[in-house]
Amino acid sequence: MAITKETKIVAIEIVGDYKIIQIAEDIIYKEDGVITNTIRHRRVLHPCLVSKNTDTNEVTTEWTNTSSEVQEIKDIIDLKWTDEVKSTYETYLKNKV
Amino acid sequence: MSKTTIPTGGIGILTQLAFNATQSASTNANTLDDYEEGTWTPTFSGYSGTDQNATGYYTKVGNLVTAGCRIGTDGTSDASVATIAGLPFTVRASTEDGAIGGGLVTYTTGLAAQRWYAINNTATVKCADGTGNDVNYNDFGANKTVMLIITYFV
Repeated sequence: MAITKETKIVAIEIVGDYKIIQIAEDIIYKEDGVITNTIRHRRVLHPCLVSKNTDTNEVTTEWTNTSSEVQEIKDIIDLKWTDEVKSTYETYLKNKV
Repeated sequence: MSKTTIPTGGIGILTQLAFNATQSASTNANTLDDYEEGTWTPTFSGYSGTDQNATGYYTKVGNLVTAGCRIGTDGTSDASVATIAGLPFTVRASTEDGAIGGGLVTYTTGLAAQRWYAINNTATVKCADGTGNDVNYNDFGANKTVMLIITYFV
């Protein structure tokens, strides 16, 4: 009896002016090649996140590391996350901290 | 897209009703256009330590997401504002953070007076104390856990 697990991207959505990327993946479990369970997993990619240190008031931008994404998602990122989008989003977040 | 007309008298008992993975958004206020349930992975944003026991579940009905999670800090000292990232959907754009989403703490071993509010145009909720001041990871506590039910609009 062989139990296997595979992940399949089922939806990629681009949301709003900041081109936030929503990814839906199905985690599929099979027993001897027959699907026994499927779990939907969601994640969201922003161009960056911004955090503030409350002791020093230093504001830090953490750019999203996309190096481990599959090529399909990398291609969308390259297309949508222009320098202008990234800069505008960083400014938007910095204005909130 | 073709549509099936439902009799005015309603429909009988359904065993299942399926929606696409990608929402087909309706502009009609009385139309149910999405349902989905699944998992997500909460992470502490800007945290230099390692997240502990991070798990999350969600259900989305129409434009409303309810997401539950558990996450904890380790022993790392960090004065960054405590923020949970990784929500399954982007929080709707709005004029004011927290007005369209926030968290209910169901259990915590950390700071007693913690409030979590959704940040518009992100997939994050930020922590504040009982008077609305930022809470950092040191305030929250080392080796502490929080469990939340987060509800927000998309």
